[in-house]
Amino acid sequence: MTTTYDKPLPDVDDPDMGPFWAATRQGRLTAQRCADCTTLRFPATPVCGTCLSEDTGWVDVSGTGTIWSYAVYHRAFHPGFRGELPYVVAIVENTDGLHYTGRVFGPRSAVAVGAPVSVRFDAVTPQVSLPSWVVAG
Amino acid sequence: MADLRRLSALCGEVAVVGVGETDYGTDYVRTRRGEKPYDSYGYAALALNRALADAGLTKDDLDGLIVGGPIAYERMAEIAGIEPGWSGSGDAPTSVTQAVMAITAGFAETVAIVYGNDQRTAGTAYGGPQAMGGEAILSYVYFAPWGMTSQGALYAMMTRRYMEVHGLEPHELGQVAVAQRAFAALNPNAVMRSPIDIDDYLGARYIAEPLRLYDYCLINDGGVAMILTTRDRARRGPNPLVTVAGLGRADENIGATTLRPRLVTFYHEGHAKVREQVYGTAGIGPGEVDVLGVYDSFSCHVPYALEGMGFCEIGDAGKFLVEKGVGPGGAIPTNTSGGHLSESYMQGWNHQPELVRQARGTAGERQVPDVRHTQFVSDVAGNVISVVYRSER
Ligand SMILES: [Zn+2]
Repeated sequence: MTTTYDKPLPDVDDPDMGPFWAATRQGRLTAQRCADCTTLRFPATPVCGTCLSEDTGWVDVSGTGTIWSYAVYHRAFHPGFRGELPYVVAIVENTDGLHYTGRVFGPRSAVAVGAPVSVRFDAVTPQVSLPSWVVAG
Repeated sequence: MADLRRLSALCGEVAVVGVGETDYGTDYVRTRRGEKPYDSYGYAALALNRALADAGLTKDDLDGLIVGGPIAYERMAEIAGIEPGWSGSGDAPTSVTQAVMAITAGFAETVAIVYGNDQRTAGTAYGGPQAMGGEAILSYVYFAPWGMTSQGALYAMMTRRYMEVHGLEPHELGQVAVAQRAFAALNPNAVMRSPIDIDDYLGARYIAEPLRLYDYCLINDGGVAMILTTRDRARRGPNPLVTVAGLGRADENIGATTLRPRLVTFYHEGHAKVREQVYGTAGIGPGEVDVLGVYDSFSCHVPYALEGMGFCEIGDAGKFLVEKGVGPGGAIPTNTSGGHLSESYMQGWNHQPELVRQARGTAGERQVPDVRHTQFVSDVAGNVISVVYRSER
């Protein structure tokens, strides 16, 4: 039996974001780190927005943080999400001060601005593992 | 950094002499029946004809053309049979600003700014897999795997964060939709004219919580045009003189993909710079603005703009909406045509003719008494822009 994943997928070969998706497949949350000024940045960009350096590496970052803000979808604008309404999407601030978008799982009553969350990786296809966030009950 | 002295030299020198809009209400009914009266260029051309007629001018008077929406100025110039000395494109307040710049710089004397959009019948997606060109805007691609696939969710997050930081209550935000519908009821050209009250607002379904149905703009087809020319030439025209008296612009794109400008300061950093420019050039403060227009793809733009422009203190917008009011008879009548929520979603364009009409004193049943200054504010898509119009009757 095969099932088809029918939600949007990221471009894992994107020249900027490719290394991020390669790391999520290994269960690691990462960000770019400027080799010159050491500023961390995410989502990925071709040069450092602080000093314009082209010299960039990737480092592992914290998988815990808090909900910065969130929205609860009561209508699916993409058909792939119809079966999951209502669902929660948040922007999470991790303990390194970086911001990651992701679905939030866990008890709905615990979802709030400032609620602590930790990352989880869902392998939705062989190529793609999506980071999601779990709120403690 | 903006130079107020040089910016002030542009202000008060250019007038809006003609306004034209299409028949939003009746076209909405026709498109709901499955008809397609015009495409984007057709709506734009119709609005242009109406603006020229209002100005008492012909197309041969035009030597500038600036367009907005999904249309190209090259094609618009071909359709209208004009060879302008200056052309360009932009959103509504940018087009007004660019027309003022082209005229004061000497590239043109009389500029048409024109918008047309058949977004409803063309099925333009502002949410979903192909939203607004999909790949062209990073945020859609970036957010989509997690199901964050609509503009509304960005504003839902912004509003949720604002509620947390400043304590905005649903019944306070709901005043915006109720007030604008009350104005739309007085506007024969509005798409949605049946009054709603706060219980209707609160009883409507969520789309992206905390935003409900009436927090969302309409999607309809139509066109808007305005004619701008020198103050001297405007004096010889048929209409009460309305000048562009103040301008301001500040961008906020750093961190846009993770919503920093929306979630941290609610665009107030841009508002603060624009406030200084637009009131500095117009020589007024918010207390002297008689009618306000706010870009309202979502209702929540209104409280952010009220605070950002100094109509109330930061964090007090909810209280202001309930106690002072933005509807008919309110402290600052806002989006008096019904705005994007109830009149027509022309992406900031339909606010401009309404603010000119209010300054002329020709806004019919919804006319605000004794209008001298009207102001437009938008905080959307990475920038804050504002225009002040002045009645010089
Ligand atoms: Zn750097």
